[in-house]
Amino acid sequence: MNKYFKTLSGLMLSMISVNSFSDTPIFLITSNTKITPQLVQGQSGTAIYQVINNSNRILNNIVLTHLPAGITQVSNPGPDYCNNLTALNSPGSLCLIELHFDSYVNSSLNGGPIICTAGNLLCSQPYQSDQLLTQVTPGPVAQTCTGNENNFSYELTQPFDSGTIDPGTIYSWGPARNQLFLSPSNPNLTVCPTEDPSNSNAINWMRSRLIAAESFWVSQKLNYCHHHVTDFYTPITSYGSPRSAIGTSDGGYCSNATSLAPANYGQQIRWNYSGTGSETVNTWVNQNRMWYGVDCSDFTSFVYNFSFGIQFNSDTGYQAGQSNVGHAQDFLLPNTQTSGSILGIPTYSTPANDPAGLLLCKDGSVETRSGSPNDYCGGGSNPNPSLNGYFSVFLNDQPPTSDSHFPVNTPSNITPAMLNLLKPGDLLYLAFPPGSGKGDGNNPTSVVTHVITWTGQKVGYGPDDINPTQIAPESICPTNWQPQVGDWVIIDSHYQGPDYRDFTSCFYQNNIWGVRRVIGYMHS
Amino acid sequence: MQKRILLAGVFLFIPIVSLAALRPVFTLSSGFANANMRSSTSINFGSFQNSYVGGSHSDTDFDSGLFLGGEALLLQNWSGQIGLSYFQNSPFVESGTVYQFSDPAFNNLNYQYQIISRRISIDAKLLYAFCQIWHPYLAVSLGEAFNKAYNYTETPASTADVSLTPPFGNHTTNAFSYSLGLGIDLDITNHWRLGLGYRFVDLGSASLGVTPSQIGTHTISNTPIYVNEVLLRISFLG
Repeated sequence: MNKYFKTLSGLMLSMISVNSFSDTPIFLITSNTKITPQLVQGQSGTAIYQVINNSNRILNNIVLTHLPAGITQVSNPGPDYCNNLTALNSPGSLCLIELHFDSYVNSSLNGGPIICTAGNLLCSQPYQSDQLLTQVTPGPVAQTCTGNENNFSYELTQPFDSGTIDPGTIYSWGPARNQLFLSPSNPNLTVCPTEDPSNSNAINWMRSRLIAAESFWVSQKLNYCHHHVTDFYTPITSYGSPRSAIGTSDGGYCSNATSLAPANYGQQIRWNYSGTGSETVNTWVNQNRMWYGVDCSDFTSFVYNFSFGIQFNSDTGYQAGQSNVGHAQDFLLPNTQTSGSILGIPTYSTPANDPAGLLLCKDGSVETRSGSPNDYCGGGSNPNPSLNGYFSVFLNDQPPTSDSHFPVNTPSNITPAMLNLLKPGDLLYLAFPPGSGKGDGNNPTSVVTHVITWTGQKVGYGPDDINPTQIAPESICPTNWQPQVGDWVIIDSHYQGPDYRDFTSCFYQNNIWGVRRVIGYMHS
Repeated sequence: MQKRILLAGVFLFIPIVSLAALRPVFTLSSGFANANMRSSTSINFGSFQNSYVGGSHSDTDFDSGLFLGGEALLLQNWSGQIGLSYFQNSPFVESGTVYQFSDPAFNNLNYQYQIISRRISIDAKLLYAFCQIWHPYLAVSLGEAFNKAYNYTETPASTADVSLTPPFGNHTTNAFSYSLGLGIDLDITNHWRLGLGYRFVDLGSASLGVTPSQIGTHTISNTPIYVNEVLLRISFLG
């Protein structure tokens, strides 16, 4: 109880402790993606920075200077990247720069990057918390899978964006994502993933790597935004409208931290911002920090792509297995499938449109469709409405309701013991009963409105636990999110972005639409 | 002007100390010196200019020096001293804020440099004998100050700011200096005297050297530096 109180007190203090600096750096340089803090000599690294001409003046001869040997700016075809810093000449202009840390560098990084103008007389660098800081340890680079669970150097060198703005919705979710690939050599990680669920070593490697990837992106302190990728920001004017006016269901929307519930927390900036350096209200609200981020299902699809190159749909309902043709299955639940309407499985014909892996049954097994009596979680060759065989709080027999978002939950259908059957990397899809006023998310049609990742970890102080101070608040159940030692921990993107959160019954457990297992059941 | 005063003093001093009625005096002085400092200027770097604003502030350090001269009886209970003195302070610190683009919003750097003033002057002192051993006095000096401004450094206001390279150079400014003082001396023996006094000193101005990056030779300078001193003295009279 005492620890719990201290944790809460620390959280609240960190929220209200907002300092400010009076200086105005000529260039405001903030990290979009931080370089890995520790590299083995021989590994390459990548850091992405956003730079704004903050001078209110036209500047010329803008250069990156004092870069340590081996650090170079590399081109990136994605939107918002500038390969030539003349893009920063105009006051207020902005661009992303990608820095590459060559594999032959053997000295550690500490400070910078420095950007100057006027013959290097006017210079700025990121605030300290954003400066390059990487320790290089002696090589050689590990060549084993287990030695590279959290090695994402190769993925970070690949452009995340397709370079094409997706015009498919009102406003835009920004550029579509590129498929990323595992390192083919030094180390060769392409041999590490598996589609064989019985290959426990490879399965465990994939689970560890997926959680490491999610942890890496949690540490970047992104916001919740309707974007496909992490390095795209909503333009100040998006399709003719100011970005602050974008509707909560539209592309480009980002969580508005200044008015987010619960009001009693009152944080104007991300909950774990320090309030100093680049983590200020001004940086968050006015300097684009809050305009970077991904939504729940874009986060899950992005991290599976980032971890293994595995592709699946970034739309929540389609990712859950509902048909992406029209909206015929928008209300379909795992336990209400019939022979005429079944949820999808990966076909790889258009990988980016596939659902994520396979649905999980109540007994922790993965559904089959092989002609066995156990197919469809016990339904035989067809889904059987008389069974409640899927891992879901929604049964086959739905009470009548006038609400089109009709599912009525039966929380008792998921017991605490069943939670032990979940594995790290499992994706839990949520739907909400009528009138709950919760979890409508950004999906205006499907009953599936949210997706979270099971970490297999719990709140605690052990080496494999998630410390309570790392648990983020959330807005759906404002009085229930507070961590208690022993609670399960999930990772999801909502409220203020991707974070570790307490697996509450209020928001998460009582609203599980279904669970899909990707690891061991999908390939890239 | 300052040089003429100095030369006149030297020529006056030599015949005075040669008079038989004159008692030679050697005095060591040291004490606190509180200097009022202020520097402000704008410097052109071609495509932009910066302002350097050191608001009025004070800095307390030490001032020490020696006096060599003679003392003569002028009237009953009145005597006078005249001679040459050399004084030097421990470095005064001047500091301020750099406004990049001369825009107060871009107060991204703080600057600092040091000033040492070395002074040679003619000092005169009028003393009154009270109860034979107490000597209240009035003092005045005129001379030349050699004010060295040096060791210019900039400190970023935050970790996001980066200092100018290269910095402004060192420079010594010659300036007219004067002082006015009062105090009291006490005879300890027939040859030794202790004293405590207050002195106001005008050190004149000081300025830094230029940086190679600037256009022109206009540089950061201090308005006349005024110093209030409390000095403890010990004198030997022959």
